[in-house]
Amino acid sequence: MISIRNLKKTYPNGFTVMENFNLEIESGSFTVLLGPSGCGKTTLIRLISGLESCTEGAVWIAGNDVTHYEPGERGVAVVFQNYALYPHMTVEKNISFGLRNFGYKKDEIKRILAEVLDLVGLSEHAGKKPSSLSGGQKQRVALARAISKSPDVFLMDEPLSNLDARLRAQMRGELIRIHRKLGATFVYITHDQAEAMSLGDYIAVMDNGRIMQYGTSEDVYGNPANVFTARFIGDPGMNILSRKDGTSLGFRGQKVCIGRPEGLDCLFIRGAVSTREHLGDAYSYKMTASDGARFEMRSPERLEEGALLDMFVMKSDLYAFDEKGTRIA
Amino acid sequence: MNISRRTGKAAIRSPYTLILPAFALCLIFSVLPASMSIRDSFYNVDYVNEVDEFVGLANYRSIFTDDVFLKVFKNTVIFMFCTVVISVPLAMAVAMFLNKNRFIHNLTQSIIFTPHIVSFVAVATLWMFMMDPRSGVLNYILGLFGLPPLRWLMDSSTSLMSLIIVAAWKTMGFNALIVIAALQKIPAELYESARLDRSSPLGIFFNITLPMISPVFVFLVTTSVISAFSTFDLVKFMTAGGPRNSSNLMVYWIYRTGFLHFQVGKAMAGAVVLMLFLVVVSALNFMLMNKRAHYQ
Amino acid sequence: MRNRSFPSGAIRATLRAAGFAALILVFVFPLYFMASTSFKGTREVNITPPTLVPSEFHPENYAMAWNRMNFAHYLRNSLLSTFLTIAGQLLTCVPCAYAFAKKQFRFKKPLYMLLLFDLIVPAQAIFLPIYILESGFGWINTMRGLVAPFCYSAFTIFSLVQYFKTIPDEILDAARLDKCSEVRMITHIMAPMASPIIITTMIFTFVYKWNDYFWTSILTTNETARTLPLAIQNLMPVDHGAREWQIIMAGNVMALIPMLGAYILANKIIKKGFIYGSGK
Repeated sequence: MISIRNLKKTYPNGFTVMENFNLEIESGSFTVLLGPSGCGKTTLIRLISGLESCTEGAVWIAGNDVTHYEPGERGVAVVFQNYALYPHMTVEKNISFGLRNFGYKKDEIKRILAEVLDLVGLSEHAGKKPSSLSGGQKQRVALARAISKSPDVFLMDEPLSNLDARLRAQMRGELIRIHRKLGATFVYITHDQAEAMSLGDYIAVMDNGRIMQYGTSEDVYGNPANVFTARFIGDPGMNILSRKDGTSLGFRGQKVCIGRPEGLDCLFIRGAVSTREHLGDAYSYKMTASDGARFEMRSPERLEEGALLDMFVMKSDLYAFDEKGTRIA
Repeated sequence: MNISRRTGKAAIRSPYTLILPAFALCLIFSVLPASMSIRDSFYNVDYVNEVDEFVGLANYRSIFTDDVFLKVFKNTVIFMFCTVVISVPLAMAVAMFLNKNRFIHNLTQSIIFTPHIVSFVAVATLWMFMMDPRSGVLNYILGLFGLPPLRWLMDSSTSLMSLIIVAAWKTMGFNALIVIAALQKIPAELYESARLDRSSPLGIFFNITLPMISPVFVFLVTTSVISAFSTFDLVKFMTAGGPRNSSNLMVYWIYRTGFLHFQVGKAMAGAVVLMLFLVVVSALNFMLMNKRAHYQ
Repeated sequence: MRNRSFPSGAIRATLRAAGFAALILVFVFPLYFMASTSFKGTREVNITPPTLVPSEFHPENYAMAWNRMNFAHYLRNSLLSTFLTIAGQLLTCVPCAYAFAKKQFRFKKPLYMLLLFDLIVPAQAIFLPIYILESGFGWINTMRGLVAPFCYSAFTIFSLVQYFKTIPDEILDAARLDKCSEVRMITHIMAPMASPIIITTMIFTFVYKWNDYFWTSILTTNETARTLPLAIQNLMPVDHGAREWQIIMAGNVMALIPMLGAYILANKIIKKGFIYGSGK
């Protein structure tokens, strides 16, 4: 288990990224840190890995206080967005360099090399330099390098964001497979909520150096704790309509029904279609309500731009938030 | 955790440990001597008779009333001016001419760079031989063109010019190679878009090539100035400053004054003037570079 | 269409050929003349018009130059001082550049400015105090006296810092996670990645030190530690006596051969280094 206790990080230039930060990550879980850029998620894994030192507070990994441990002594491996392979070393050397520093014996290194290269499907490329590999292959080497030291914790900083969409989807599947196989703790950073939902057992939604919500992916999607999470999760994010008393109402664009509610307990909206986007299996509409509020709607029906509609959202699909954006119902 | 191991590691990792060796050498062989120069320039120093007295600006007064020093300073400025005004543009022209990746271009690049790796001593003796007024090959070549022979290094009206020619010959290839490297960094798209805009070759040169290589231009000017002000080997070997100091340059003057005539204070005053001059030139160049140079 | 404002093809080709001919002539001829003179006899050296090819070959000029210069002794000193200087620069400049490129510490900026001090001030302006210092240390006429001041080079540090800065921090992070010690970080990560620029700067150092006449003449008073450029001086008559140019040129050629050999071998690397080092 990773346990982060009362953490504070202030950079030498005086900027405090996070303060009083607490987080517990279950061992063996696939936990995703999700948030917009600049929310402190990268800083967090740099603090967990020891690449950055804590100003205050402590980091515990597997029952040890590792706050003052060197990065190499913490039993963590990091996979970086830009792969961070050693460009002057072959694939094999990239992996064995660390193993040798860790004091593994020659025949052990050989065995591990064969094993991890096989696991990521790169056995034929062992003698190549990173520059002759494709992006996906490079990321696999980085993964193999991380796996080779059999760490308790894998920290991954947007490892797939430099890959094209098709490759990314394929690599996601592989990551899940590898996670199951190794049974280690994966901590994965992304700003892409869809990626977070598809990968994570748990998602920690972060903003401004704080955890906004921490729960299963079903939880953060279906039961958002606040406006930030509600807006950030889902495609599109939740529509939030503010009310005169400062509170607000939220609903998902997929839950908007077209027509008159006819006596049902629901929110009634009258509005017009501003723009239409075709998504393949459905259309996405930007709507303008009669009171000027804007929201997004998903519907399989093709509607003309400018069309005036009556719409409603069932009460069971509505979310209520107080003035501070905290969920109340 | 083992405390002592930790501190030991921290010491190795400390950036100060990493910079210490270079820094110590810089202090001993750069900063300290410079301060010694400055200090001694205000003193009457005589190591033989162990004299060391403060004399204020007397050394400076003496060099600026010394006809020889003034002449040497003027020579150095002329030398610098000629290298900057003649060698640098020439190197640029040669670079444009040779900026192609074909065999003959590459070969010629390598050839003109060769003098840069030949020692000043070899260059000096070689050109002394070629500049021999009686049997030298240069006078023979002048004769082929119907020109009168020159006395080159032996004549006070041509000695400085002779040194300038030799210095230009030695540094030209190096300068050209640097310009070529800069030219090859210019993205081809820039030229393509200019061609699409129907720019004339001259327009392309002034609007694209020149601005893009302006940092290199500034670099070349700075190095040319510095090398002009540190030229020693050529003077010592070829002319010993003569005839009648017509080819004497600053460093050789300092050498002679301090090293052969033991007028340390006076030599140091000259060294400080040289340093100040260079700091000012470098600063000017640096400012110009920040203002004019085009970075990407 | 592109040569409308320019002379037509044939004239251009002729002009271009003339350009190449002029360049090659100006830069090759003196060196060729050096080599051809080194084989000439005493009389042939001074005749007008000068001969391009020696009418009779005198290879014994080289033997005479070798003996008169005490060539072996000077060659040994040249090799030793050059390689010690290169080793010294690698030991001091690489760690230093690494720290300035990749570490944060107090007074970094002013310290860096101080280190780059002698990029502006040429050592030639401060040679007298250096001579005085070295006499104080008793280093005159010693190898360490000839090497120590050059084991640090602002130019090398500056070039390396520029290059090291382009290496992504994540690679260093990855190495730290790989339990890489600071020494191995320099020897196994930074240095190999920067090898083109390291080789380039070391070639500059090699050329500079091998050819240096100024410092060696200042810091030595006898043969003990003197290097090849000083050996040529032994061939020059002290007074204005007759100069035996063929012997001097033979000496020049011999002193040039190691340099020229290195240049021919490293030619590609130098050029590559230039283009690589000036930032893709």
